[in-house]
Amino acid sequence: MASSSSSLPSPSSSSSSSSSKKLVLRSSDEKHFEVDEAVALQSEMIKQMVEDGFGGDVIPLLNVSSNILSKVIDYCKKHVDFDSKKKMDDRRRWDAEYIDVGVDELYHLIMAANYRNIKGLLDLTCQKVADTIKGKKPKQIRIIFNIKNDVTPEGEQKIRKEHSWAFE
Amino acid sequence: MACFKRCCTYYPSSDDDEVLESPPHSFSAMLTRDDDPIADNQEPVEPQQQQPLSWDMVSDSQDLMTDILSRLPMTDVLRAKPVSKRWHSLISDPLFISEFCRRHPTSVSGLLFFGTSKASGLEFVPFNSNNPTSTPLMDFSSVLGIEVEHSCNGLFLCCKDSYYIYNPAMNQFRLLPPQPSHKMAFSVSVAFDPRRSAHYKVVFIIGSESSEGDGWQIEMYSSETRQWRLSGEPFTSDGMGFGPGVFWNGAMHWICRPDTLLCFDVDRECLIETPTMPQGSRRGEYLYFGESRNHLHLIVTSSEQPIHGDGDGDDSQVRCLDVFEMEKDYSGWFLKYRVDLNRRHKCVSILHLVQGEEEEEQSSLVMYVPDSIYSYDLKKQRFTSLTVNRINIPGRSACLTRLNVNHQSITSRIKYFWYSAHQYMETMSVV
Repeated sequence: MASSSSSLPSPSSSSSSSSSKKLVLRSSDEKHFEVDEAVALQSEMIKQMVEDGFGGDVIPLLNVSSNILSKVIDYCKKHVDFDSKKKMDDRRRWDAEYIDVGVDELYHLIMAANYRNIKGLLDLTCQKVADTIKGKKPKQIRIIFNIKNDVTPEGEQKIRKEHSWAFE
Repeated sequence: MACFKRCCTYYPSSDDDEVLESPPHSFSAMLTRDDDPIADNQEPVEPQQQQPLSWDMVSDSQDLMTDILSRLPMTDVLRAKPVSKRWHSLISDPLFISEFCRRHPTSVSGLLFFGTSKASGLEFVPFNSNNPTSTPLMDFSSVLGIEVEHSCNGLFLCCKDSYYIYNPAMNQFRLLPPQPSHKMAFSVSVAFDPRRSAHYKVVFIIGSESSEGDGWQIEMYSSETRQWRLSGEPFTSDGMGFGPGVFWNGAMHWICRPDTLLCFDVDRECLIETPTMPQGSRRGEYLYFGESRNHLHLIVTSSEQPIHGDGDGDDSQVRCLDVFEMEKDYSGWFLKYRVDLNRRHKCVSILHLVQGEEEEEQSSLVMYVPDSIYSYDLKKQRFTSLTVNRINIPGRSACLTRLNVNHQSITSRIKYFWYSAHQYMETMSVV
């Protein structure tokens, strides 16, 4: 564990002096993050790995880049704090600020949360995507999420007609 | 192909004897047929764009998309259908629909009244008059001419020579196959609770051959199997006839005059024993029997009718009433409210009891009073007049017209009762 400390970006340096057990996570671009076990265990997937006796010093997260991993760890740390304090208003305010990100970053966060199975973060990111879709026209949704339009104009017309009340 | 067309037909014609039955069709299955607007045979899909941040990976995950889209209101979900073929098929998928129904507990948006003739149109009384704008009721106008026999949580059982299930929010019809028994139905009803299941059942009470005298039997259609079958054992009833079915707690309930309550569990397919009916001042006189937010209510004229000064003996007017509610375990009816309307308004009939969202809060009675429809807050004991929206027919260009509540045409034409008031709510459920 100690051997990886040279490449640790900021998230690990802020860890408290508590004697709690640490885990080291490795991002896809080979950066190492040392975090409290409680923080890492916010991820159901990592929790499962630990429970299954995945004893390695470093847990590799192959498809999460360091900047996203750092952001994900921010979330998990904060929520470990929140869980002990139960201040719902603070949590909501912090979450709202946290998730105020561009579509690209949102995409990476939702994929990371989904893959790592971090329930709270998945909930937050899915809600953000839903909020983004809300009130938008199909064309706008395609542009925002870079989705190829493979529906013919006639097809779209037919769907609109079927549910005309929703399109008013 | 024809199945899909039938699903969207406005005036289903009975001379077409095509039956939509087994093997089971789901709406999404129908959409793979060749009149599908966006089926794969229209144009070859180009290889995926090499954009680094296309959201295809999110779109490809059914779990993620279900999680995201089921957070949206129904209008937004329907509006997102044309985004892409992938989105269309996701939103039409029965798994998505049941998740959506689970997450969006149905809330009644208003009461719907059908005129008795095609010329009389239909009327909608929204509970939240601030937001009556976008409802699928526009489309409903085009199906007038078929009788609405029963409704349950957003699905309507209609009849025009044959029986249909109609979901106005999705603008879908399904023609039910004829019952194998070919027997006349003495009561027809639809049982549907999206919180329990995305499937519905159609419950008919038919005469039974196997017992002497007045024997009955349930014949039931399940949308899951797409088949009819005789259900439960033949039974007899002490009462006369069957009132309209009320679906509550997974069971259909009928009042048989004068004072028998018949209850049939549609999942376990058996009759349930019910407690003695509470008695009003006149035996067998029930002013209302219905369900709201998972509470079963029965309203009778109070046996302790207070004496009011003038005593003009106007029998058509409701003055003091007792509201009973059934215990969840059928252990008995308990008196929930005793309401003295105190003659401030000449209530002629109770149309609905709206159970408040929170325990005992804001429960209200919707009642027909000559000249208009009122809501009576049971806690604050206050009347509020409700807006009546009339949906004009004929023609597809039907429009909602907000009527002045004192409008003459309502007063002279209508006298509504609880069984003519259909709770309306939007449901994604596929019929």
